[in-house]
Amino acid sequence: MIFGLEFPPIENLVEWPNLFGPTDSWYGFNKIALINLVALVATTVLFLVAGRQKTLEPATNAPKGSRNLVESAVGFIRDGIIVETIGPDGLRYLPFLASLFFFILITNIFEVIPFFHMPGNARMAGPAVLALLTWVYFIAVGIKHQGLKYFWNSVAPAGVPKALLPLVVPIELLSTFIVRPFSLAVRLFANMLAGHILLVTFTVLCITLWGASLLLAVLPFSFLMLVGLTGFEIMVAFLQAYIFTILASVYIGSSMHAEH
Amino acid sequence: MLASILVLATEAATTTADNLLGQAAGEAKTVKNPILPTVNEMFWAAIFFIALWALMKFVLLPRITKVMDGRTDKVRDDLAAAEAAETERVAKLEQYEAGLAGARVEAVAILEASRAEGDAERRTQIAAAEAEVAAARAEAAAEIADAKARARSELTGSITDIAVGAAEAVIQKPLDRAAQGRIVEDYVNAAGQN
Amino acid sequence: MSILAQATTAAEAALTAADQKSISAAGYAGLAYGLATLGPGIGIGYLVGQSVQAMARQPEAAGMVRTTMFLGIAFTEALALIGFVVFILLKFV
Repeated sequence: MIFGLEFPPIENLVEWPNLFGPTDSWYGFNKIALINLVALVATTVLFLVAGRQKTLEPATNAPKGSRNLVESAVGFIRDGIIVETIGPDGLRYLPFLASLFFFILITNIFEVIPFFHMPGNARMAGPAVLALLTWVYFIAVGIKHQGLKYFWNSVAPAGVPKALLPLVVPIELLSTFIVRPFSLAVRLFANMLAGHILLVTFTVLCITLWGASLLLAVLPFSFLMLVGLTGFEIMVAFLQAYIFTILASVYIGSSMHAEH
Repeated sequence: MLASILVLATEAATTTADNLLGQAAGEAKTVKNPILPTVNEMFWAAIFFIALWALMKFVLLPRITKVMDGRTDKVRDDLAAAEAAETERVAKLEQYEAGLAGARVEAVAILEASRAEGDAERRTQIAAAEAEVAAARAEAAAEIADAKARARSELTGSITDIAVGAAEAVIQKPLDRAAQGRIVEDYVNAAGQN
Repeated sequence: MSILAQATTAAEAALTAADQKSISAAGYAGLAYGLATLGPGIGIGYLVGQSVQAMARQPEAAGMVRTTMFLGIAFTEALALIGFVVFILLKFV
């Protein structure tokens, strides 16, 4: 407690009571689950609205409105992420990567949406599930493209002298099959949690300063900082969705072909 | 947001107090690790994400990509059509220019031929005119020479007559008319030459 | 606030060994996070600086450089984030 500033314990920031279902049950539906549901519904509605016009518009009409938004996003994922990291033959993974991008982006953006103010990925559950699915997915792609030899190819890069293999294989094993999903999940989770704590810190500071008569002069700076950080967190929300998607794309691309 | 955070802050204050009091009273409290994922949230996240994935794969994305690919194809076709039209235009232009050059050569040839023809015509006409003029001039010259000779002979005769008559009157004696005539003639000739 | 102050005084009398351990852990948490930021800070600065240089030299390769830059940032940042997680673990658990 500094100058009457009392920071709430972290449970109060990130743990939400169930909206229905008993506490500690495996199906308790709380705010995080609600945010995930909204991410599903919002993406679906956006795509359905954008795709309601099934034919090509007249030659004079460029895509506009929701269709323009969705097409820009899909084009960005297709050309900016997949083609850059995997190449044109990675386009069949577009549904998975587009789902990842939209799901993460929308759950992240709830960090700054009024009445929610909670990034869905500031809980480890969401990132862990997504990282686990990505892990399973890239291993499945590797087995599909290279057979069971994929495991050996991915832990023993070509060109490494045989004498070094006892050293390289454990390192590669660790980095490919353990560090990859772990760092994917932790990166997303820690970024969003840090942003959330940052915003809460400045909000609590603002509230405390509101009550403190002498320190009221500092309040505008604190509030401006809060506004600026909100903008920064919007950028972080987008950036983390992008980074998660591009890393998933890189991992999938690396399991398609043996490294050489 | 301010209201909810205020509530949170008060809750925080009371729970901290409660925790400390409870711990002071020796109550055991299980602290949940904020890092570890909880089962219910993982369950719902997996359900919703897999639902989104399936929807994206079978319903949502095909509509968007179909139109996008259609547009890409259309743009490519339009570009190809524009390129073909351009090639055609260039070919037509070349053809037209070739025709134009042929026509120009032909026109020049026609012009040259007609000019040569005109030249020849003019030249023959000029030659004819010149010949005519020359003939006329020759005729005139002959006439003049004729008239001159006649005039001279007449003049010579009359001068001789006058001169001989005058001389006979002066010397009161007939002169040899023929010899005097030769002298007069020589003189007249010499005068004509001067 | 007055209630809280009383509560703290009441609790202070009965600090157990576990409480003292968690207090010292909370003290070290800040240190751990501060140390964890140093390397990645330098790393990201160097990485972005070099990327900007590359983009300035070859603007036509800017897209590729940017993608690779974000990948590099993601990998470098992971260390700082693990430091942050350790901080949370020390501070709040």
